[in-house]
Amino acid sequence: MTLAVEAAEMPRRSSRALAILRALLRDPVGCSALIILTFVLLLAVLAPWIAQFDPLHQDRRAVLKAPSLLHWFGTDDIGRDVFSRVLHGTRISLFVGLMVVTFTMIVGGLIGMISGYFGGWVDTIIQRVVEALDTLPSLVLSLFIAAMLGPSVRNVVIAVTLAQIPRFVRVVRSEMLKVRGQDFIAAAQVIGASPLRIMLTHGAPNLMPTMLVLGSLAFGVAIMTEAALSFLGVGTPPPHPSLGTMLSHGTRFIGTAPWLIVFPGLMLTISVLALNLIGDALRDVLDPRHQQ
Amino acid sequence: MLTFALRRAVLGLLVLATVALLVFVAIRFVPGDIVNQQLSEAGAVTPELLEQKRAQLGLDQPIATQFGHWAKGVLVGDLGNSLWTGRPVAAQIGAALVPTMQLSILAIVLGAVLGIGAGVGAALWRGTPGDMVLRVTSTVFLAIPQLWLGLLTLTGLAAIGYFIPLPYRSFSNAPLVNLQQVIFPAVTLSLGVAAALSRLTRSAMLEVIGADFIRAARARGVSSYGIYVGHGLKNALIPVITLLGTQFGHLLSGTVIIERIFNIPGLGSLLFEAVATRDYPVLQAAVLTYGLITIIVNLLVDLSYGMVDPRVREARS
Amino acid sequence: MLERMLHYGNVLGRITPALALSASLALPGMAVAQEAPRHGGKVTINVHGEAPNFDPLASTEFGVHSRLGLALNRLIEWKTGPDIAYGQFVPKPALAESWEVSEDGLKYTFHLRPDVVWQDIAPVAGRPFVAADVVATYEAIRKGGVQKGQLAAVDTITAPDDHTVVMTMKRPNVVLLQALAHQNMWILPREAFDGGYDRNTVVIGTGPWILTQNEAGVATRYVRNPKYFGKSDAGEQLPYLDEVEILPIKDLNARIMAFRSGQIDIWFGPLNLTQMEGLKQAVPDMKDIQTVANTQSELYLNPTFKPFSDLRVRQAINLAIDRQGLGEVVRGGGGIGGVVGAALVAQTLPQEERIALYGTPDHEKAKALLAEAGFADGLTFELTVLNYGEEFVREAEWIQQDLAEIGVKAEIKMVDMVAGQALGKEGNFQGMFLMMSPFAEANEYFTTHFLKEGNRNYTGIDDPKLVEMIREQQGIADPAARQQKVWEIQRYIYQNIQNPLPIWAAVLLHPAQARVEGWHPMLTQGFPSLPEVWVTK
Repeated sequence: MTLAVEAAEMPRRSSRALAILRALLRDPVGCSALIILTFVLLLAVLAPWIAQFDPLHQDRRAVLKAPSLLHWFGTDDIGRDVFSRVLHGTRISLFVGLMVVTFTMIVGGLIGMISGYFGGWVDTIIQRVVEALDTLPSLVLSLFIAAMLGPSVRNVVIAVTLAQIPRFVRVVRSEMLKVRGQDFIAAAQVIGASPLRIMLTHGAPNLMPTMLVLGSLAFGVAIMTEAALSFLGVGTPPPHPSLGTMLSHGTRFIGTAPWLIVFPGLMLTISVLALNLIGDALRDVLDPRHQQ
Repeated sequence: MLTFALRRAVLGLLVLATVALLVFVAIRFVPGDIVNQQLSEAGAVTPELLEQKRAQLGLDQPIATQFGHWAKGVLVGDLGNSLWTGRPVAAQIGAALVPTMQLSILAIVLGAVLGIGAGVGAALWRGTPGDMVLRVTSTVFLAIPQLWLGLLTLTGLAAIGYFIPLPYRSFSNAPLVNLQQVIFPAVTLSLGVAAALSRLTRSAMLEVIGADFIRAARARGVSSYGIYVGHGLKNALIPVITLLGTQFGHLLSGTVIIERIFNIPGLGSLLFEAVATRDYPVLQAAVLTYGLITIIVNLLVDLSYGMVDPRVREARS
Repeated sequence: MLERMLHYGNVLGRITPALALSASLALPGMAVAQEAPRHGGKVTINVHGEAPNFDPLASTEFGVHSRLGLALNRLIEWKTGPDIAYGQFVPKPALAESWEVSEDGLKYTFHLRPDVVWQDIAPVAGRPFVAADVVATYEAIRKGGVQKGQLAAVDTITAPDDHTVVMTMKRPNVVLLQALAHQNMWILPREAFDGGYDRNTVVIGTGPWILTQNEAGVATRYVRNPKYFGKSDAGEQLPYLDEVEILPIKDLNARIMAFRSGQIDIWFGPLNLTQMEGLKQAVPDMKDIQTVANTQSELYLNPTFKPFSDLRVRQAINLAIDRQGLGEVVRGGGGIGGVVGAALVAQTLPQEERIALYGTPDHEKAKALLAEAGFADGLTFELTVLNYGEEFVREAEWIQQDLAEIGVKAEIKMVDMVAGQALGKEGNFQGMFLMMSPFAEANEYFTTHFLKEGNRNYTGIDDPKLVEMIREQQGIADPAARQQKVWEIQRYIYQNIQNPLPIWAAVLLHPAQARVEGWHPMLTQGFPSLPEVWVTK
């Protein structure tokens, strides 16, 4: 019986993903956001091939050069190519964002489902912990964790993930509460399916739309937080070209070399913009209440 | 209603105690302490001197003892003395809280005015180019990191030759100077709030415009703008208040960065310095203060639901 | 000598400095004013660190001591003036009017100024300054002050009468005078130590200004002390300025804005040449004083990491680093590092010699040394970098690229300063890159770096011959002979120790507004030339 259910669900799920994508492409905002995001992703993924220079290489004879045909975005104060650094910085930003979203979705999603499915004291404990994390403004929490762990990409991912999880848990829990009462869950319980199995086979697919919307927004937040932490000196450590580090670096040349601030910030904004738009479009596509 | 709000507040305080304990323990595992910092530039330091200083500050005690001592103090309202300045932490927190709150409140008010105004406008002019411009602008401002916006503001101000007066003055001491210092960071912070609010207000307004009671009111000959704005805003109020509550958290996050960029001695700067110097009591108190602000804001949001919508009041009591 | 490097592209010019200026001498633009000094007016100085408290015994922070300098005095002060280099210690009578040293160098007698009164603040309330104040301060320091080490060689401190202080020494130590002039050695009234008042918050001194207000994060304000004992060379009552304000502006960009708009008169703290060019465009008539910083970056190589226990590897690393390029590109000038920092012009090795030892990279030779030591294929290590700010991190990145060229891969690990110092003390690192403390005497460099119990001896150096030489120089009273010994020690360290590797002392820029006259920046904290500063209208 369960096998049959799964078999029946398989095609439904993949066709549903396709349907979401088609709907996104039909939506003008969603379509343009997808195009921008694909462009940013391509730049990031292909960075080593697009960038003419090694982002770490110091051309010590070309220091603080304004944008030119050779150095499209200019060079920094030890002669590194800003264009290459922006591309590689975007790569790091997207990597951090992707890691954060993945971990948040898995950990936050699982905890949220457990909390919503079991209820009772499990739910109470989880809710208290989530509230504790949620009491602090997210950047303050991330800052505290990152400062404690020391600057590294891994620690940034941990710090940002921990700050993102509460929101996920809360939303997923409330969705799970709705799903729990439905017939197919009761049916699965009757035939003795384990809670984990029920959550994964019945809970997760139903929560997917919510998770997708939340995920795309969290992605944007993660990118911004990474930049903020790096700006404050507790994020991605040098010599890695993080957009936030580049911005902090550029503040010293605000009057003399504005390209050090303009380009990393622009890339940051475009990435976040694309992700936010996709989040919006997904919500419109997936949640009929939001369609106007 | 009141009991509901109070129960949440009490729960919040319990949660805060947990946070305090976590922070207290965690920070002590970070390598280095304030004694390293204080003696960092001394030419000749003996290990005995280091131990002597640690003992003076009580840093040689077991963590449990230190926590017990601190917690006892907090319960009677004594946050202890800063390891760095030797002065009462409460005074330092108080001094830092003023600019941060001023900045946040100013930003939230500015953001609310701008955002609700833009949202109402966009809804009324739905489908016109004006609506498009407002929507696009709000989307863009949601995506611009405050960090970058702040830096761009500074760049722009420098370019036109305007310099924000220094040093920081409090509003009560020098209102004119203070306003010049606070207005740019506040605007920078408010744009994100405004963007989020305008989108919400617009969709809430649009929901109302199609509703039956509006048609009914119009049939009675009430002017349409008045109806839209009146009913629309009323409908939008609850989500807007909720959003304001969550935005306040974002704002506090933003102040950490913005205070740094605009050189404002607020809570964010204090926290950052306390981490850097390992000034444990200040750090603990700053974290607690952030927590307390969040709890108070949540409480206010809860209470305002009740005031705005009697149904909530009944449902919850 | 101020060492300024030629443009990087000029290969020949890199060996010889393009310009050799006396360190405190200003560049063109600082015309000596013909006008006579006038009383009155106010200047604003920025100090980018806060004063967490005002207890000089509690911390070595520059934020504290630079603020205390306006209100307090030392027994002996650093003389300043147009002919005195930034890092040159010329003792100047301050609270001590004169002094004598016994033949054997074991007894110092100080005669105190008779006409000094404390500032009129309760509970000291304007009473005369006496020898008991000096004894109380020094004894408190010896008991538990951060500057305890300055008095390590002192045996007894006594006051035979109200205006005489006698110090006997455990062993001869010629740096005592300088130790008493050390930036942290402020004299406080004895009430500060017997519970009369809280020295954390109250500042009572004998200095040129009275501290009237300190608002954390905002400003520290001072007004003229009418009873200050100081007189100018022409016999005029000092200080000239009625008011001084110190602004704690942490953000560099905000500081730049503040200077451009005239809100800061005297700049204190980091600034690079590019930024100063920007300042000059906005304030064309500003004074542009340049010196070499009294701090330098240093690279520690921990012998507990096997490859670094081999002297040849350390030498190879020394040969890989293009310090002059680093200095010019990253710092825009300054001085090549030495065992004793470049700012101590009379004690560091002569510039040509430092360039020969540390400033002539040779990658072939470096690779050969590595191969000889068994690392022909290069090696990889973790380089712990303390976060001393953007430019410092650029230095680390520069070194990383240099080392890569001889096959040494440095993986940078960033830590904050406090964590870094703790890691250093534990010896818990492979390579460590940091900024050295602002020492004012060769002896400080030697004792902290190379004696077993030294505060900056992070790699456990304990070389009997070196210890012997360090002790020896402390007893040489003849300046020329001592200089020779100090140089010999540095050469010995280059040959046999090569750890930590000195890197670079940045150029230190001291912009001041055109209206500020008589300003001579000095290596020691507390602005010793400020009493003689005056402003034109």
